[in-house]
Amino acid sequence: MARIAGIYWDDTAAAPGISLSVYFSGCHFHCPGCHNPEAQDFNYGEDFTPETIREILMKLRKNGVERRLSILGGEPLCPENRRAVYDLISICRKVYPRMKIYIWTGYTIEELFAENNEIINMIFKHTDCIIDGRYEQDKRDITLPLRGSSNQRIIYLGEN
Amino acid sequence: MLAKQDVENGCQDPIEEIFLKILDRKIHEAKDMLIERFNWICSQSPASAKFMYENGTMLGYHPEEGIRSALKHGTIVIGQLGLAETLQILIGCDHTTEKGMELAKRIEQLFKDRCAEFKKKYKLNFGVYYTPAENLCYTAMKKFQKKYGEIKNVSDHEYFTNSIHVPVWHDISVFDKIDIESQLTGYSSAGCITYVELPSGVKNNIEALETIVNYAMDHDIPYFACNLKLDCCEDCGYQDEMNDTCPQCGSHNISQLRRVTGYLTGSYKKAFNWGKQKETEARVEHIH
Repeated sequence: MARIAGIYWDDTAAAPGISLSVYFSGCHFHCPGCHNPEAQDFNYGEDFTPETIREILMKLRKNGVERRLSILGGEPLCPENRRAVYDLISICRKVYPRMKIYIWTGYTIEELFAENNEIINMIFKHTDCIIDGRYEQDKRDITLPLRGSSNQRIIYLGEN
Repeated sequence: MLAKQDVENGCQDPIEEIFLKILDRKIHEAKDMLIERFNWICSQSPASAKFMYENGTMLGYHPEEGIRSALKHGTIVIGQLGLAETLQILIGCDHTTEKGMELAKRIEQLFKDRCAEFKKKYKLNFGVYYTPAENLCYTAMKKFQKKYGEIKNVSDHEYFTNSIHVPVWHDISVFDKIDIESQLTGYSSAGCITYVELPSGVKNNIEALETIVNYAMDHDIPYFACNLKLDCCEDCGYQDEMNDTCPQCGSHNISQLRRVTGYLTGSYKKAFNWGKQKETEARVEHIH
Protein backbone atom coordinates (compact mmCIF):
# COMPACT_ATOMS: atom_id res chain seq x y z
CA MET A 1 0.00 0.00 0.00
CA ALA A 2 1.23 3.46 -0.83
CA ARG A 3 2.04 5.85 1.97
CA ILE A 4 1.72 9.62 2.32
CA ALA A 5 4.67 11.58 3.72
CA GLY A 6 2.50 14.63 4.30
CA ILE A 7 -0.23 16.89 2.97
CA TYR A 8 -0.41 20.68 2.92
CA TRP A 9 -4.10 21.52 2.72
CA ASP A 10 -3.33 25.11 1.73
CA ASP A 11 -0.02 25.52 -0.03
CA THR A 12 1.43 28.55 -1.80
CA ALA A 13 4.92 27.11 -2.29
CA ALA A 14 4.29 24.36 -4.89
CA ALA A 15 2.20 25.60 -7.83
CA PRO A 16 0.81 29.00 -8.84
CA GLY A 17 -2.28 29.88 -6.79
CA ILE A 18 -3.43 27.86 -3.79
CA SER A 19 -2.66 24.14 -3.93
CA LEU A 20 -3.57 21.11 -1.96
CA SER A 21 -0.21 19.33 -2.03
CA VAL A 22 0.14 15.59 -1.45
CA TYR A 23 3.60 14.10 -0.85
CA PHE A 24 3.89 10.35 -1.59
CA SER A 25 6.50 8.36 0.34
CA GLY A 26 9.25 6.37 -1.32
CA CYS A 27 11.79 7.11 -4.03
CA HIS A 28 14.54 5.05 -5.74
CA PHE A 29 16.54 7.98 -7.13
CA HIS A 30 18.17 9.29 -3.93
CA CYS A 31 19.45 12.45 -5.63
CA PRO A 32 22.22 14.13 -3.60
CA GLY A 33 20.82 17.29 -1.99
CA CYS A 34 17.22 15.98 -2.10
CA HIS A 35 14.68 18.48 -0.75
CA ASN A 36 12.65 15.83 1.13
CA PRO A 37 15.13 13.04 2.04
CA GLU A 38 12.87 11.58 4.74
CA ALA A 39 10.22 10.91 2.08
CA GLN A 40 12.63 8.58 0.20
CA ASP A 41 11.66 5.81 2.62
CA PHE A 42 8.64 3.83 1.40
CA ASN A 43 7.58 3.24 5.02
CA TYR A 44 7.64 6.91 5.97
CA GLY A 45 4.38 8.66 6.86
CA GLU A 46 0.85 7.32 6.93
CA ASP A 47 -1.18 4.85 4.88
CA PHE A 48 -2.93 6.15 1.80
CA THR A 49 -6.52 4.97 2.25
CA PRO A 50 -9.98 5.67 0.80
CA GLU A 51 -10.41 7.94 3.81
CA THR A 52 -7.39 9.99 2.63
CA ILE A 53 -9.02 10.42 -0.79
CA ARG A 54 -12.31 11.41 0.79
CA GLU A 55 -10.64 14.06 2.93
CA ILE A 56 -8.69 15.43 -0.05
CA LEU A 57 -11.85 15.65 -2.14
CA MET A 58 -13.59 17.62 0.56
CA LYS A 59 -10.73 19.98 1.29
CA LEU A 60 -9.98 20.77 -2.37
CA ARG A 61 -12.94 23.18 -2.26
CA LYS A 62 -12.95 24.08 1.44
CA ASN A 63 -14.21 27.65 2.11
CA GLY A 64 -15.34 27.71 -1.54
CA VAL A 65 -11.74 28.30 -2.67
CA GLU A 66 -10.62 26.68 -5.93
CA ARG A 67 -7.37 24.87 -5.29
CA ARG A 68 -5.01 23.01 -7.57
CA LEU A 69 -3.97 19.49 -6.78
CA SER A 70 -0.18 19.11 -6.56
CA ILE A 71 1.34 15.64 -6.37
CA LEU A 72 4.92 15.42 -5.10
CA GLY A 73 7.15 13.05 -3.18
CA GLY A 74 9.17 10.97 -2.74
CA GLU A 75 8.50 9.73 -6.20
CA PRO A 76 4.80 9.61 -7.05
CA LEU A 77 5.27 7.83 -10.39
CA CYS A 78 7.51 4.94 -9.27
CA PRO A 79 5.89 1.50 -9.80
CA GLU A 80 4.93 1.24 -6.12
CA ASN A 81 3.01 4.56 -6.06
CA ARG A 82 1.55 5.09 -9.51
CA ARG A 83 -1.63 3.08 -8.90
CA ALA A 84 -2.47 5.19 -5.84
CA VAL A 85 -1.69 8.39 -7.75
CA TYR A 86 -3.99 7.28 -10.55
CA ASP A 87 -6.79 6.45 -8.10
CA LEU A 88 -6.46 9.87 -6.52
CA ILE A 89 -6.27 12.04 -9.61
CA SER A 90 -8.90 10.15 -11.61
CA ILE A 91 -11.51 10.59 -8.90
CA CYS A 92 -10.51 14.24 -8.33
CA ARG A 93 -10.84 14.82 -12.08
CA LYS A 94 -14.27 13.22 -12.08
CA VAL A 95 -15.51 15.40 -9.22
CA TYR A 96 -13.80 18.63 -10.35
CA PRO A 97 -13.42 18.40 -14.14
CA ARG A 98 -11.73 21.80 -14.53
CA MET A 99 -9.30 21.56 -11.64
CA LYS A 100 -5.58 21.83 -12.48
CA ILE A 101 -3.41 18.86 -11.55
CA TYR A 102 0.39 19.21 -11.28
CA ILE A 103 2.79 16.29 -10.78
CA TRP A 104 6.47 16.47 -9.81
CA THR A 105 8.49 13.40 -10.89
CA GLY A 106 12.17 12.47 -11.00
CA TYR A 107 11.67 10.49 -14.21
CA THR A 108 11.96 12.35 -17.48
CA ILE A 109 8.85 12.38 -19.59
CA GLU A 110 10.74 10.41 -22.28
CA GLU A 111 11.50 7.64 -19.76
CA LEU A 112 7.86 7.47 -18.78
CA PHE A 113 6.65 7.42 -22.41
CA ALA A 114 9.15 4.68 -23.24
CA GLU A 115 7.66 2.45 -20.55
CA ASN A 116 4.36 2.48 -22.43
CA ASN A 117 2.70 1.61 -19.14
CA GLU A 118 -1.07 1.66 -19.06
CA ILE A 119 -1.41 3.38 -15.69
CA ILE A 120 1.18 6.03 -16.55
CA ASN A 121 -0.63 6.78 -19.80
CA MET A 122 -3.91 7.15 -17.92
CA ILE A 123 -2.25 9.43 -15.37
CA PHE A 124 -1.01 11.66 -18.21
CA LYS A 125 -4.55 11.86 -19.55
CA HIS A 126 -5.71 13.55 -16.35
CA THR A 127 -2.64 15.71 -15.68
CA ASP A 128 -2.27 19.35 -16.67
CA CYS A 129 1.37 19.85 -15.91
CA ILE A 130 4.40 17.65 -15.24
CA ILE A 131 7.64 18.94 -13.73
CA ASP A 132 10.15 16.27 -14.70
CA GLY A 133 13.74 15.11 -14.17
CA ARG A 134 16.07 14.20 -11.33
CA TYR A 135 17.37 16.90 -9.04
CA GLU A 136 20.95 17.63 -10.12
CA GLN A 137 22.81 19.45 -7.41
CA ASP A 138 25.39 21.08 -9.71
CA LYS A 139 22.51 22.59 -11.69
CA ARG A 140 20.78 23.95 -8.58
CA ASP A 141 19.01 27.25 -9.20
CA ILE A 142 16.61 28.50 -6.54
CA THR A 143 15.34 31.29 -8.79
CA LEU A 144 13.59 28.85 -11.17
CA PRO A 145 9.83 28.74 -10.71
CA LEU A 146 8.51 25.29 -9.66
CA ARG A 147 11.93 23.59 -10.07
CA GLY A 148 15.07 22.89 -8.08
CA SER A 149 17.66 22.45 -10.86
CA SER A 150 17.92 23.77 -14.41
CA ASN A 151 17.74 20.30 -16.08
CA GLN A 152 14.16 19.94 -14.85
CA ARG A 153 11.37 21.01 -17.18
CA ILE A 154 7.80 22.30 -16.88
CA ILE A 155 5.70 20.40 -19.42
CA TYR A 156 2.06 21.30 -20.03
CA LEU A 157 0.05 18.34 -21.26
CA GLY A 158 -2.97 18.08 -23.52
CA GLU A 159 -5.41 20.88 -24.02
CA ASN A 160 -5.92 21.73 -20.35
CA MET B 1 -13.18 38.40 36.30
CA LEU B 2 -15.74 40.43 38.29
CA ALA B 3 -18.54 38.46 36.67
CA LYS B 4 -16.77 35.23 37.56
CA GLN B 5 -16.39 36.32 41.16
CA ASP B 6 -20.10 37.15 41.32
CA VAL B 7 -20.94 33.63 40.20
CA GLU B 8 -18.51 32.15 42.71
CA ASN B 9 -20.13 34.26 45.42
CA GLY B 10 -23.47 32.66 44.72
CA CYS B 11 -25.05 34.96 42.14
CA GLN B 12 -27.70 32.95 40.27
CA ASP B 13 -27.62 34.86 36.96
CA PRO B 14 -25.76 33.34 34.02
CA ILE B 15 -22.19 34.64 33.86
CA GLU B 16 -22.74 36.16 30.39
CA GLU B 17 -25.60 38.32 31.67
CA ILE B 18 -23.60 39.52 34.67
CA PHE B 19 -20.70 40.34 32.38
CA LEU B 20 -22.81 42.27 29.88
CA LYS B 21 -24.25 44.36 32.71
CA ILE B 22 -20.78 45.19 34.04
CA LEU B 23 -19.58 45.92 30.50
CA ASP B 24 -22.50 48.24 29.91
CA ARG B 25 -21.59 50.19 33.03
CA LYS B 26 -17.96 50.39 31.92
CA ILE B 27 -18.92 51.59 28.45
CA HIS B 28 -20.92 54.41 30.08
CA GLU B 29 -17.96 55.27 32.31
CA ALA B 30 -15.71 55.38 29.25
CA LYS B 31 -18.18 57.68 27.54
CA ASP B 32 -18.21 60.03 30.55
CA MET B 33 -14.42 60.13 30.61
CA LEU B 34 -14.24 60.77 26.87
CA ILE B 35 -16.70 63.65 27.11
CA GLU B 36 -14.84 65.16 30.05
CA ARG B 37 -11.59 64.97 28.11
CA PHE B 38 -13.21 66.34 24.98
CA ASN B 39 -14.59 69.32 26.90
CA TRP B 40 -11.22 69.92 28.48
CA ILE B 41 -9.51 69.95 25.10
CA CYS B 42 -12.23 72.24 23.71
CA SER B 43 -11.61 74.72 26.51
CA GLN B 44 -8.06 75.33 25.30
CA SER B 45 -7.27 78.57 23.54
CA PRO B 46 -6.65 78.40 19.77
CA ALA B 47 -3.27 79.91 20.61
CA SER B 48 -2.22 76.53 22.02
CA ALA B 49 -1.95 75.26 18.44
CA LYS B 50 -1.70 78.46 16.49
CA PHE B 51 -0.54 76.96 13.23
CA MET B 52 -3.47 74.57 13.03
CA TYR B 53 -6.16 77.13 13.66
CA GLU B 54 -4.79 80.05 11.71
CA ASN B 55 -3.97 78.44 8.38
CA GLY B 56 -7.23 76.85 7.40
CA THR B 57 -5.90 73.38 8.17
CA MET B 58 -8.86 72.50 10.41
CA LEU B 59 -11.99 72.13 8.36
CA GLY B 60 -15.12 73.60 9.92
CA TYR B 61 -13.27 75.90 12.31
CA HIS B 62 -15.18 79.08 13.11
CA PRO B 63 -13.09 81.33 15.39
CA GLU B 64 -16.15 82.94 16.93
CA GLU B 65 -17.40 79.50 18.08
CA GLY B 66 -14.13 78.37 19.62
CA ILE B 67 -12.09 75.32 18.70
CA ARG B 68 -14.96 72.99 19.49
CA SER B 69 -16.34 73.87 16.04
CA ALA B 70 -13.36 72.10 14.51
CA LEU B 71 -12.81 69.32 17.03
CA LYS B 72 -16.40 68.06 16.98
CA HIS B 73 -15.68 66.56 13.55
CA GLY B 74 -13.09 64.22 15.02
CA THR B 75 -13.89 60.75 16.31
CA ILE B 76 -14.29 59.80 19.95
CA VAL B 77 -13.68 56.14 20.37
CA ILE B 78 -13.97 53.36 22.87
CA GLY B 79 -11.14 50.92 22.25
CA GLN B 80 -11.48 47.22 22.63
CA LEU B 81 -8.80 44.68 23.46
CA GLY B 82 -8.65 40.98 24.36
CA LEU B 83 -11.98 39.54 23.23
CA ALA B 84 -10.40 36.06 23.07
CA GLU B 85 -9.23 36.20 26.71
CA THR B 86 -12.59 37.61 27.85
CA LEU B 87 -14.46 34.70 26.28
CA GLN B 88 -12.03 32.22 27.81
CA ILE B 89 -12.73 33.63 31.27
CA LEU B 90 -16.49 33.61 30.78
CA ILE B 91 -17.16 30.36 28.93
CA GLY B 92 -13.84 28.54 28.56
CA CYS B 93 -13.58 28.86 24.78
CA ASP B 94 -12.96 31.67 22.30
CA HIS B 95 -14.76 32.83 19.15
CA THR B 96 -13.18 30.13 16.99
CA THR B 97 -16.04 28.00 18.38
CA GLU B 98 -19.73 28.48 17.67
CA LYS B 99 -20.56 29.08 21.31
CA GLY B 100 -17.79 31.66 21.63
CA MET B 101 -18.87 33.45 18.46
CA GLU B 102 -22.44 33.69 19.71
CA LEU B 103 -21.37 35.51 22.86
CA ALA B 104 -18.80 37.56 20.93
CA LYS B 105 -21.57 38.94 18.74
CA ARG B 106 -23.65 39.92 21.78
CA ILE B 107 -20.66 41.76 23.25
CA GLU B 108 -19.92 43.58 19.99
CA GLN B 109 -23.58 44.44 19.50
CA LEU B 110 -23.60 46.14 22.90
CA PHE B 111 -20.56 48.26 22.01
CA LYS B 112 -22.09 49.16 18.67
CA ASP B 113 -25.54 50.01 20.06
CA ARG B 114 -24.17 52.15 22.86
CA CYS B 115 -21.83 54.10 20.58
CA ALA B 116 -24.72 54.72 18.18
CA GLU B 117 -26.84 56.02 21.07
CA PHE B 118 -24.05 58.28 22.33
CA LYS B 119 -23.51 59.62 18.84
CA LYS B 120 -27.14 60.62 18.55
CA LYS B 121 -27.42 61.99 22.04
CA TYR B 122 -24.21 64.03 22.20
CA LYS B 123 -23.85 64.85 18.48
CA LEU B 124 -20.28 63.60 18.56
CA ASN B 125 -18.65 60.88 16.46
CA PHE B 126 -18.60 58.07 18.98
CA GLY B 127 -17.32 54.76 17.65
CA VAL B 128 -15.88 51.36 18.55
CA TYR B 129 -12.22 50.96 17.75
CA TYR B 130 -10.64 47.50 17.53
CA THR B 131 -7.23 48.23 18.94
CA PRO B 132 -3.90 46.42 19.16
CA ALA B 133 -3.19 48.61 22.24
CA GLU B 134 0.56 48.52 21.61
CA ASN B 135 1.46 49.41 25.19
CA LEU B 136 -1.67 48.57 27.18
CA CYS B 137 -1.74 44.99 25.83
CA TYR B 138 1.36 44.39 27.95
CA THR B 139 0.89 46.70 30.96
CA ALA B 140 -2.72 45.58 31.44
CA MET B 141 -1.65 41.94 31.29
CA LYS B 142 1.08 42.58 33.89
CA LYS B 143 -1.54 44.05 36.22
CA PHE B 144 -3.99 41.24 35.51
CA GLN B 145 -1.36 38.60 36.28
CA LYS B 146 -0.45 40.34 39.51
CA LYS B 147 -4.08 40.38 40.62
CA TYR B 148 -5.36 37.04 39.34
CA GLY B 149 -2.26 34.95 38.67
CA GLU B 150 -1.74 32.64 35.72
CA ILE B 151 -4.94 31.38 34.10
CA LYS B 152 -4.72 29.00 31.16
CA ASN B 153 -5.45 30.64 27.78
CA VAL B 154 -6.00 33.96 29.57
CA SER B 155 -2.88 35.11 31.39
CA ASP B 156 -0.37 32.39 30.51
CA HIS B 157 1.09 34.76 27.92
CA GLU B 158 2.56 38.25 28.11
CA TYR B 159 -0.07 40.26 26.22
CA PHE B 160 -3.79 40.61 25.65
CA THR B 161 -4.81 39.59 22.15
CA ASN B 162 -5.36 42.38 19.63
CA SER B 163 -9.04 43.48 19.69
CA ILE B 164 -11.27 40.74 18.27
CA HIS B 165 -8.43 38.84 16.62
CA VAL B 166 -8.11 35.09 16.69
CA PRO B 167 -5.20 34.47 19.14
CA VAL B 168 -1.91 34.53 17.24
CA TRP B 169 -0.88 31.01 18.26
CA HIS B 170 -4.03 29.37 16.82
CA ASP B 171 -3.15 26.95 14.03
CA ILE B 172 -5.87 28.08 11.65
CA SER B 173 -6.00 28.53 7.87
CA VAL B 174 -6.04 31.93 6.17
CA PHE B 175 -9.58 31.30 4.98
CA ASP B 176 -10.95 30.14 8.33
CA LYS B 177 -9.38 33.16 10.04
CA ILE B 178 -11.05 35.52 7.58
CA ASP B 179 -14.36 33.65 8.03
CA ILE B 180 -14.23 34.20 11.78
CA GLU B 181 -12.97 37.78 12.00
CA SER B 182 -15.22 39.00 9.17
CA GLN B 183 -18.22 38.13 11.35
CA LEU B 184 -17.09 40.75 13.87
CA THR B 185 -15.34 43.53 11.94
CA GLY B 186 -18.70 44.98 10.86
CA TYR B 187 -19.46 45.95 14.46
CA SER B 188 -16.50 48.34 14.53
CA SER B 189 -17.38 51.82 13.37
CA ALA B 190 -14.07 53.51 14.20
CA GLY B 191 -11.43 51.15 12.82
CA CYS B 192 -10.13 47.61 12.70
CA ILE B 193 -7.67 45.44 10.84
CA THR B 194 -7.48 41.76 9.94
CA TYR B 195 -4.07 40.16 9.67
CA VAL B 196 -2.97 36.98 7.99
CA GLU B 197 0.56 35.72 8.47
CA LEU B 198 2.02 34.43 5.21
CA PRO B 199 5.30 32.69 4.37
CA SER B 200 7.82 35.07 2.78
CA GLY B 201 7.90 32.87 -0.37
CA VAL B 202 4.37 33.93 -1.26
CA LYS B 203 5.87 37.00 -2.93
CA ASN B 204 6.66 34.63 -5.82
CA ASN B 205 3.06 33.45 -6.04
CA ILE B 206 0.98 36.45 -7.02
CA GLU B 207 -1.97 34.27 -7.99
CA ALA B 208 -2.15 32.87 -4.45
CA LEU B 209 -1.98 36.38 -2.98
CA GLU B 210 -4.76 37.46 -5.29
CA THR B 211 -6.93 34.54 -4.17
CA ILE B 212 -6.37 35.44 -0.51
CA VAL B 213 -7.04 39.17 -0.99
CA ASN B 214 -10.15 38.48 -3.06
CA TYR B 215 -11.38 36.11 -0.39
CA ALA B 216 -11.00 38.85 2.25
CA MET B 217 -12.76 41.40 0.03
CA ASP B 218 -15.61 38.97 -0.69
CA HIS B 219 -16.07 38.66 3.08
CA ASP B 220 -16.27 42.44 3.56
CA ILE B 221 -13.09 42.77 5.57
CA PRO B 222 -12.78 46.59 5.85
CA TYR B 223 -9.00 46.67 6.28
CA PHE B 224 -6.95 43.65 5.32
CA ALA B 225 -3.22 43.11 5.78
CA CYS B 226 -0.90 40.35 4.62
CA ASN B 227 2.08 40.04 6.97
CA LEU B 228 5.36 38.74 5.64
CA LYS B 229 8.67 38.48 7.42
CA LEU B 230 11.44 40.61 6.00
CA ASP B 231 14.93 40.55 7.50
CA CYS B 232 17.69 42.87 6.38
CA CYS B 233 21.44 42.51 6.98
CA GLU B 234 22.62 45.84 8.40
CA ASP B 235 26.16 45.18 7.09
CA CYS B 236 25.74 44.06 3.48
CA GLY B 237 22.12 44.96 2.79
CA TYR B 238 20.98 41.42 1.86
CA GLN B 239 17.21 41.00 2.32
CA ASP B 240 15.25 37.80 2.91
CA GLU B 241 13.74 35.81 5.73
CA MET B 242 16.71 34.65 7.83
CA ASN B 243 17.41 33.72 11.40
CA ASP B 244 20.23 35.50 13.19
CA THR B 245 22.90 35.05 10.50
CA CYS B 246 23.14 36.66 7.08
CA PRO B 247 23.52 33.90 4.44
CA GLN B 248 25.51 36.26 2.24
CA CYS B 249 28.13 37.77 4.57
CA GLY B 250 27.69 35.87 7.86
CA SER B 251 26.91 38.99 9.88
CA HIS B 252 24.69 38.76 12.98
CA ASN B 253 23.72 42.40 12.66
CA ILE B 254 20.23 41.67 11.36
CA SER B 255 17.25 44.00 11.40
CA GLN B 256 13.98 42.10 11.56
CA LEU B 257 11.09 43.93 9.98
CA ARG B 258 7.68 42.69 11.14
CA ARG B 259 4.29 44.28 10.90
CA VAL B 260 3.53 43.99 14.60
CA THR B 261 0.64 46.43 14.36
CA GLY B 262 -0.61 48.72 11.62
CA TYR B 263 2.68 50.32 10.67
CA LEU B 264 6.27 49.30 9.97
CA THR B 265 8.79 50.51 12.54
CA GLY B 266 12.15 48.93 11.81
CA SER B 267 13.28 46.00 13.92
CA TYR B 268 10.40 44.83 16.11
CA LYS B 269 12.87 44.02 18.88
CA LYS B 270 13.69 47.70 19.24
CA ALA B 271 10.35 49.34 18.57
CA PHE B 272 7.97 47.29 20.73
CA ASN B 273 7.61 46.32 24.37
CA TRP B 274 8.25 42.83 25.73
CA GLY B 275 4.59 41.80 25.45
CA LYS B 276 4.28 42.67 21.77
CA GLN B 277 7.65 41.04 21.05
CA LYS B 278 6.38 37.84 22.64
CA GLU B 279 3.15 38.10 20.66
CA THR B 280 5.10 38.48 17.43
CA GLU B 281 7.19 35.41 18.23
CA ALA B 282 4.10 33.34 19.07
CA ARG B 283 2.50 34.03 15.68
CA VAL B 284 1.96 31.07 13.38
CA GLU B 285 1.73 31.24 9.60
CA HIS B 286 -1.79 30.68 8.30
CA ILE B 287 -0.77 29.03 5.05
CA HIS B 288 2.23 27.00 3.86
